[in-house]
Amino acid sequence: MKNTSYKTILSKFGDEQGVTGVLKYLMLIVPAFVIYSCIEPFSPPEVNNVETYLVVDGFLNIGGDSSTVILRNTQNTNDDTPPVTEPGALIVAESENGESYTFIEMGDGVYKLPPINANTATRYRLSIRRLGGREYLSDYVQVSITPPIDSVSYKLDQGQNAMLIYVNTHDLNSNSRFYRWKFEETYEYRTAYYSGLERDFEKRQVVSRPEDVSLCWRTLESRDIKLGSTVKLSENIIKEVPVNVIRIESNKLLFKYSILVKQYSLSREAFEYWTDLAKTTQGTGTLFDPQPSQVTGNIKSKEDARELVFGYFSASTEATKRIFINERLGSYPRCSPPDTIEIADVFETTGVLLSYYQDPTGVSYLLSSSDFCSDCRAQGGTIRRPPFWQ
Amino acid sequence: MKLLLPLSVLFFSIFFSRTSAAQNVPGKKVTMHLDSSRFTDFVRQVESQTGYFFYYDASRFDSLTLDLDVKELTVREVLDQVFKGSEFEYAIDSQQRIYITQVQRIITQLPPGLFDPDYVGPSAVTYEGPENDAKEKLLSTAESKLHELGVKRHRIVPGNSTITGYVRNAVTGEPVIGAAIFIESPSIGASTDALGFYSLTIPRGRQLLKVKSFGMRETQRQVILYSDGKLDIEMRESVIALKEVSVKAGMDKNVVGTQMGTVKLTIKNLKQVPTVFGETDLLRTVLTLPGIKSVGENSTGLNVRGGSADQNLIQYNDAVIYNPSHLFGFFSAFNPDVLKDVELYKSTIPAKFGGRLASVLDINSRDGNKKKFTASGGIGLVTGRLTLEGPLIKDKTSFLLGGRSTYSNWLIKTLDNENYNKSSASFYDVNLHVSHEINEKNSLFLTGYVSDDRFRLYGDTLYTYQNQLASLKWKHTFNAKLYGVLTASHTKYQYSMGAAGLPLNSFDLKFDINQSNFKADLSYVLNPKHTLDFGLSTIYYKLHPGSFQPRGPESLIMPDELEPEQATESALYIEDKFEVSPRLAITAGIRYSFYQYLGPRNVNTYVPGYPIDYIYQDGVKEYGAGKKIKNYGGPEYRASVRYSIFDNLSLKVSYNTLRQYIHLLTNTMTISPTDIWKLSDTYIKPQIGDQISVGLYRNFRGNKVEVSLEGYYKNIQNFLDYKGGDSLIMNHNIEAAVLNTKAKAYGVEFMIKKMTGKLNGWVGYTYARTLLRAVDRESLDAPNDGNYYPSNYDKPHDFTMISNYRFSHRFSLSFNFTYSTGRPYTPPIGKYLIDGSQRVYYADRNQFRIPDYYRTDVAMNIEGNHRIKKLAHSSWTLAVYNLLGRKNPTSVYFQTIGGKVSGYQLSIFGQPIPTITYNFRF
Repeated sequence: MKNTSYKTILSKFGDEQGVTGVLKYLMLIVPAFVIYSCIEPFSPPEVNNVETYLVVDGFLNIGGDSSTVILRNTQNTNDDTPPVTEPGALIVAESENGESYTFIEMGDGVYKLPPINANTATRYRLSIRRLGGREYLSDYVQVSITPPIDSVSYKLDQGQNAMLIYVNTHDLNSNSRFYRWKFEETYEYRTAYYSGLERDFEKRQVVSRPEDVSLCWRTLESRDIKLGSTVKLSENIIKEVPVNVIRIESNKLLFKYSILVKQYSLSREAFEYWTDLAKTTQGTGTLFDPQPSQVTGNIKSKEDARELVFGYFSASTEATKRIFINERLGSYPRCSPPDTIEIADVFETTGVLLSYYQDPTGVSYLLSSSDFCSDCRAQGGTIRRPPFWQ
Repeated sequence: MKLLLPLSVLFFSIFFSRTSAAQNVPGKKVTMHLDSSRFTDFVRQVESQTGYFFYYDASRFDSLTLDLDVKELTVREVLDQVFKGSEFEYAIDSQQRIYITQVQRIITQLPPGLFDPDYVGPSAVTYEGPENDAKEKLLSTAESKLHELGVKRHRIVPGNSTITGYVRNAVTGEPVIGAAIFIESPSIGASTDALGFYSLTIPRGRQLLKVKSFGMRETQRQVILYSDGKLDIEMRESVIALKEVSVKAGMDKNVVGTQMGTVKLTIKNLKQVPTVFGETDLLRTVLTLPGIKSVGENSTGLNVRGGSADQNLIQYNDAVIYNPSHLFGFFSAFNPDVLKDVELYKSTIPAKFGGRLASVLDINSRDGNKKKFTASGGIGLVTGRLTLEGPLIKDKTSFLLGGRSTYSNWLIKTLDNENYNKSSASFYDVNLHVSHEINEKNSLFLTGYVSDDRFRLYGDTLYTYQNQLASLKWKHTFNAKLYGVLTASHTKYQYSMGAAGLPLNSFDLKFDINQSNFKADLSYVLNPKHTLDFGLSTIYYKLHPGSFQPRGPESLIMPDELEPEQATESALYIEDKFEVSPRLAITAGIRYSFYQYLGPRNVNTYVPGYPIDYIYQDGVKEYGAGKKIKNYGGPEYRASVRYSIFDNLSLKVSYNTLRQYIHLLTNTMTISPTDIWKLSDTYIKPQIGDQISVGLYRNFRGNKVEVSLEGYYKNIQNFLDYKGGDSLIMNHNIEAAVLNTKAKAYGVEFMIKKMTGKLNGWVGYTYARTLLRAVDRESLDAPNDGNYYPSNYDKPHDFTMISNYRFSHRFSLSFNFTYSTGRPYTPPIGKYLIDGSQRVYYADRNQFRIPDYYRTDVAMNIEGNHRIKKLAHSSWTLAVYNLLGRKNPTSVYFQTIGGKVSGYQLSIFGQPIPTITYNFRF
């Protein structure tokens, strides 16, 4: 953890204003520089590359759950639309001893394979035939058997003012000493105000709200690549490896919080791939920036081995564990006092309606507040209680 | 002055002789016994015993000794005996004054009857003036004097003897380096070394010694060589310009020397090249030479023949300098007023140098003026400088003190912008050089240098760095054939970065490197055909690779410190310069270097069978203080051959190997403020380079125009490149962030150079490639699938023209043009979504290039008048940098703003930049 502390600090110099800034700034040290230097847009043909490449995102889940592979295309760096998905492809997982499992296209580039009870002693590869007929093959990969998660624990770190989530596991039989974790975190949260009313635009009336929009659950997936290995240890035991850091000020822990940790064993090659991928930042090519790294994966085009294909195919079992945290840390959301609206003006305003209000003189108003303060869905959650919620 | 003496004596005697009618006043008798006595003793005795008084030029008799045994003789008889058979004449006037002259006797009386119009008779006395030729010679008595060298004997034994001595500037007392001293028949010559010392072995007897040096008035000395002797020669400058010239190197060295790829630039050459801020810039001028490149316009990191910026041994008066620039590359760290010259070796690297692969940049300061106090300086747009020099003990000890600083801080403060007002940028450097001549055989030179840079970013982060160096050189001449230089030096370089913006995150980051050197370089003239150079050197390194500490009580930074590193690097060398025949010369040498990485230190260990990567670190191994952790060493071969095809055309071939044990870790495009030096250790192996070069050299127009064509091929093993995305700062597993690569570099360099005449300058064209390849080609970290890829500074085509036209002694115009291929870069060429997050992907490493670079500069130098007597000599330099205003991209970078990756190009000097500088000297 010591590592992260200074790296974060230094990245301040590396990325935001810092060493890139040094160069830009150096021109400012003397008025002459200010006058003479200039920054202009630079978009050579190589940066506006229109060529796209296949991205294979997914893995073969051996035993247990279904497997998902998503096919997408790369995009131009300037393109801010969602990536183009790849329909109509034929995806087959093939084993060395001749078994094959064909994925079913679910639409939107998603291909699914129902749970299989495959042979774990053999090696698998992924074969992809795109709609236009171009074929791709991954390297054969060994099946990694994931040991069950022993426990997921948590501890409050006063210094960082954050809750740390740890995972513990051990595997005394397997050769695989590399792990990757993903998680899904879900937290319950409430808005500052309760909204009991809403506008019925058809009838042009204020009606009472049928559902409670002050209580929501939001689920987020892990975005960072969390890796661990026991090669340096004498025993294949993972003890208290942090997989997530929840900052207290995020208020995720104020009501109830749950995390589903997913664990995968990795081959060494897969581990190195993810390690390198984790290093590719959105950092760029200034004079003072580190050399960017080029990571592709283990999938190659059959016709042209030099064609870029992104993604790493691996085959493993999955182990999961869910815990709940009910520590009530953080502070209740605060909002500015509600506004009062004249009842006649209600359809000219946009605020979320809370309730009626009668001032001491007996005049009635409507109280309203912002989305953020009174409709929890505005913060990205859902009012539907997750099925696993306890 | 000396010329005036005989003449004044003549007039004196003419004037007074009228009053003395009678001659031959009977003098007293002289009795004396002299045994190897000086002429002055003889004079004193005669004067004391008689009433006579001598007039003579003492310098003509300083080497003359007398044996005399006389009793009761008249003065005339004694003088007849003394001067019999010699070239001296004497005359005695009526007032008992004796005038001793050479060849021509002084006439002490007027012709009889001059004042008597009735006189008829023979004109008894005639006077004949010397011939015109002889008159010329008399202009310089040092030239006309016959120098008797060695133990004087009556009969000269046939054979050779050696003359040694110094050639110095008659005005400043500074040594004249590279002066040629020769006799014409038989044709034998020698040249002076870096201290102006020469040693010439010629046949005994009477010889005419000619002395030539570029920029100095040619001179000669008449000698009679009896045995080994010593002769110091003073030369005068051939130009009437202000004192600034001292040019080295025989004019035909390009063709005649065995050295290849060597360039010498004197301060005069440097001053002709326009720079951005009007101040003479050593490194930027070096960058205009063929084969030398840099990554960007603001960078002074030199890439010599495909070497990285850390592969240059940059020495200032024999002390290594680690960061040769100010303000991260906008200025070079050398004050132009104290510089004498710079010599760059890029293919034949003499065996006395080692420790870096690509080049040696040997920078020398001037010696202070030994005759009088002077001051000089300059005021430019951004910097000002002042230099004082003068004798401490006249003709023996001198000092030179130079300082330079910037006033950019003051300029920033005047800006009406809050961001800039909180910022600051400043630097200074101070040079002190003392030279002392203990005696003829021993000289001492002391140099001290300090530089300091401070740079604050928006009132938040303060970057500072300092260079400190000191060197003490003792030159000792053992005998005519053997001389040596002992050098002790110490260098310290440190940087720190302090951030105080947010109290919680305030920190100090520090790095330093210390190096103590000792070396002995000896030179032995075995015989006229063989000269041996040999010596040894040892270096002790101590590095503090990084310390990261909280700053202030509120800071939550976890302190972190990297362990210090220490090592020794020693070397022994011997090199023979062998002149096989006038056509063929060979220089061959061997250097054995030996390196030890020493404890105390904890060395990371990695799981056997896995790559060296931090993910596989399994522990540390502890080594105690002084314990050897790792040894490296090996021979380095240096050889070069010159064959003269014709008198002015020669072919040279050279081969050398070098080893480098210290590396600059930088995974950014240029040298960045926080790059660190790293010693070779258990994992990071020394870099080994070998280079073969072939060249053709031809001089035209009486050596005025030099043309050279050189080709080279170079291999570098264990060249360091870096894995993508790893940070090198405070990295406890630095060995895991580096990538061992194999580099190959090749190229052709063509240069036409004319350094004299009204039009001077050079034109150079280079074609050069530098390609790298990961050693472990299968590794996932191997860039470009393990294939060769261009280095960051691979710029194949490079053309430079530096020209200067002197309209008059007071006015000259310079015009420069530079073109080079754009440097390679690695652009992001797309993005993709994987596992829920966006990743940018890059093109293969260095497969694309930024736009080509070209630039034109002009400068005008106006010197003040050349009256000798005036308060200050001054000159003005008016220059326009980047006359055409081309926006050359210095940097190309990409930023992610709102999910969009946009590219920008940054041109630092994207407009014509006029500057004006005032220089003075008094």
